Amino acid sequence: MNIKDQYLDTTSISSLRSGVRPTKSQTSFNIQSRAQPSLSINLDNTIVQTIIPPVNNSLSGDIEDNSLLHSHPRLRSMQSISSIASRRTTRPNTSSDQLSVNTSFNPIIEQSFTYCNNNNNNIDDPSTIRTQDAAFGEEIRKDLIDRLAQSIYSYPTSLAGNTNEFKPVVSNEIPDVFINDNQIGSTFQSHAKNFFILTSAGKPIFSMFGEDKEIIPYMGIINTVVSYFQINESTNIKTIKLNKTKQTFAFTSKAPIILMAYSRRGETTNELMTQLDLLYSYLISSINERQLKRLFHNRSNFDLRNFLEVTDFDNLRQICSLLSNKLYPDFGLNALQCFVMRKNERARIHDTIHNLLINENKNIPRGTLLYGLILSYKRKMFKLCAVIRPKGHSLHTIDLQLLFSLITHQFENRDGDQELWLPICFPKFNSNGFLYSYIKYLSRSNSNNLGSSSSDIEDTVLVLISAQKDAFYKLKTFGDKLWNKLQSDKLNEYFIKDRFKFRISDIQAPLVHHFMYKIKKYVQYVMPEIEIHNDDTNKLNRYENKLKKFYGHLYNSVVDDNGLPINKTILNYLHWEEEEEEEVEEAEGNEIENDFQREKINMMGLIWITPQFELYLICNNGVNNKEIVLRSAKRIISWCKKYESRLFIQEGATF
Amino acid sequence: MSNPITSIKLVLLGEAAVGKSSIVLRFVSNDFSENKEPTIGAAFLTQRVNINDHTVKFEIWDTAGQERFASLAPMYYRNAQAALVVYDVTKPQSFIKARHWVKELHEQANKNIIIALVGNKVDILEENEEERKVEREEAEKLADEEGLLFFETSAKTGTNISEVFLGIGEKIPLKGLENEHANGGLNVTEDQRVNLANTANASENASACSC
Repeated sequence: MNIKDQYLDTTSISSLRSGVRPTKSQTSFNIQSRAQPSLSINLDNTIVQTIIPPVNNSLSGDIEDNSLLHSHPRLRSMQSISSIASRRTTRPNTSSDQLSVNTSFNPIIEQSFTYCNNNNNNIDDPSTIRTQDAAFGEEIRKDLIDRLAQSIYSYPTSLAGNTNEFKPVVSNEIPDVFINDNQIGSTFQSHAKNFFILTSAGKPIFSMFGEDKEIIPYMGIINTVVSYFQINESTNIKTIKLNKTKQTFAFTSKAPIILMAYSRRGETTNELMTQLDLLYSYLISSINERQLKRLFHNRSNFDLRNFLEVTDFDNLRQICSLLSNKLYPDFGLNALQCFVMRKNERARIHDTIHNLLINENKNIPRGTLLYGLILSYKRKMFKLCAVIRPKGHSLHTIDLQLLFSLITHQFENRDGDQELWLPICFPKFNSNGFLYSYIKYLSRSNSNNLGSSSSDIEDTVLVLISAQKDAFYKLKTFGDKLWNKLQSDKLNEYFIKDRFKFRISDIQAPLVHHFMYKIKKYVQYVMPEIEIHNDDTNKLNRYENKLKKFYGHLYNSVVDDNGLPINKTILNYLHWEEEEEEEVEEAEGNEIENDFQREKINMMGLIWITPQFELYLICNNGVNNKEIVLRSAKRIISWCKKYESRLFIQEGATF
Repeated sequence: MSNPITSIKLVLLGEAAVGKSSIVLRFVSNDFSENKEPTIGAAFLTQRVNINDHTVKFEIWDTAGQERFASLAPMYYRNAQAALVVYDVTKPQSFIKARHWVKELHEQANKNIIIALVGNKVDILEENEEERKVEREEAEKLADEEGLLFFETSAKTGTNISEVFLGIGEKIPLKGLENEHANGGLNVTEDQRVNLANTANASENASACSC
């Protein structure tokens, strides 16, 4: 996997429902360059039972195990101060209500964490709690109650491995603090978001919404605006912002293609530009840049739509919809999700691949295979089961996401045992040439024993990538042999069924609703399964949209205009709550929520970025205790650390 | 002789959305789906059928009809023993494209390649004959001139689909018959024209289809 981190933004942000503002308390930590980012190392062997007394700035160190700090003298406090601002209900004035307390800590501040050195490292064992200092009895009692509450929902087939068919679904009822802004009217101008792709000659190629006759006048305007800056200023226009109406127009000009994103959701320029880059990359994956330039070389008024096909437009629409409405962490985190399996299971699969590659080097000479993947596909999401790659080389996640979007399309309507041979340009690898992907569907299984809901179908697929356009039979032979070998060794059973999917309730992290955790060096992330009772698609979409917006806010709270984090290490809390004096309910169109008295909005989220990992976390409604949230965050981190070799592909089969 | 297996490499060519994948789906799975996704790149499928006590294994390349994949086509037809050139009987443009494919195959492909010209979607004509935009006679004329097999099919209803593949299968010299190809070929069909082509192919093809 590629280590390049682009810090792409998770999501789009919606304009806030009036009366709801994020209150922001922000604490960024300047760890000096000599300071090793050793927090994560400590977490390896330590249970961070952070029981934190009411924080004050003096931070009188209640440190039980000082030796740990001493053994890492450079580790300094990363404790965030509970800011008063977070509880303050906000005033209508935007500039003042986004009260941000930016406290740069002096790195000498002592740690106030309570470390409990627990060698067996069993975070699931409640007995560890009892070993705590009695002074924190009250905290412990609360914690036990939390655990009890969570154990009721504890998910049976967790990573711990016990199996029970009963699968309760954790509530996904978090309040939506944002107005439903997707569409205000029925005309095409009323969409809160739109994407346009056109040629430099002003011919339309694609728009997310709008018929030809509606969009053509805009093509002329976009073209004129872009050309004006190119001619008069010799520069490319990036963005136009209308502060009053919160409208943003972002432009990308890559002759012969112009792209424009329009948003009324308060998205940042950077967010929109990265989204445009994905759309442009898709175009290039279909027609590489060299082909594109050749097409337009002699005919600048070429109509590219004649060259693209239904599939392309479907895929572009699909990508736009992912960008606009779905939680799309693959893109947002610029990372991939990994199929969970035991360390030794994955090692055996990788060994098998590796050995077969060595044994077959006559039939599949070095250089034929560039890259290989075994993927699991479920609910329109791909997860990595195994990776075959040359030492020191990797493909960019954007390139893989483009490949995924191509395969997704084929998945929806596959015929029996067909194998595919797909030319695809990986723009981040080489935007002028094609690579060829051999795609073989390995197996299909239904993880739901009770029903036959289509969303429980899991497909496994093998992808082998080559630079040689006639390598199909070589790769096919290799693929067939690999699959036979995996079957005969019964290794295929490890990835045909997701045995280890987990819910948030499997982790002893009280009050956390959902999280995403990314390890940067693997370019992979993990998050609890999003499930909706009865597979209600509308409900699922609504829920994902909510999560997307919360995560979007979190992310934007710590990045600058270019989308880069404001600091190497950041820990930040965001708080969403409504103003008490305002009535907010009117516009809500959700009949379910109207049947009950609506919950008071009091949401909190945490974002924690370090050079090693990124953690995004959203709490249950009503949670406002930062200490508990931070403690839960640390539990999530140590849980992910504990199961790192299951949750992430660390090496893959390298050759 | 005990049921020898002959492999036939077959490629489908033709304009986008004429029903190439549907023809294959009907042949391989006896199935049809109304709103098929366009093929990207090419799909590779196999199907075994028995023809005159012989098992024939079709290795089928179902190529994308889209123009931008056209440059890849030579890779698929280069070693093919048979090709289906498919057009849509309701789309005159697709027949023009079919003519181009036939020309290209004669120029570029294996000299002995067996080409079947296939006019698909005749089920539409059953509802309304006025939908026909490519006359049967016109296509038959092209087939005669170029020495092609010719069928009008419907992947939707299954009309004539297996006939296309059986027709191809019967024209390919089968393994085990190579030494007695003259007799074997005579038994296949009564059609003299087809038969002659077959015997001619058989002698030349014996070396070519060593795969």
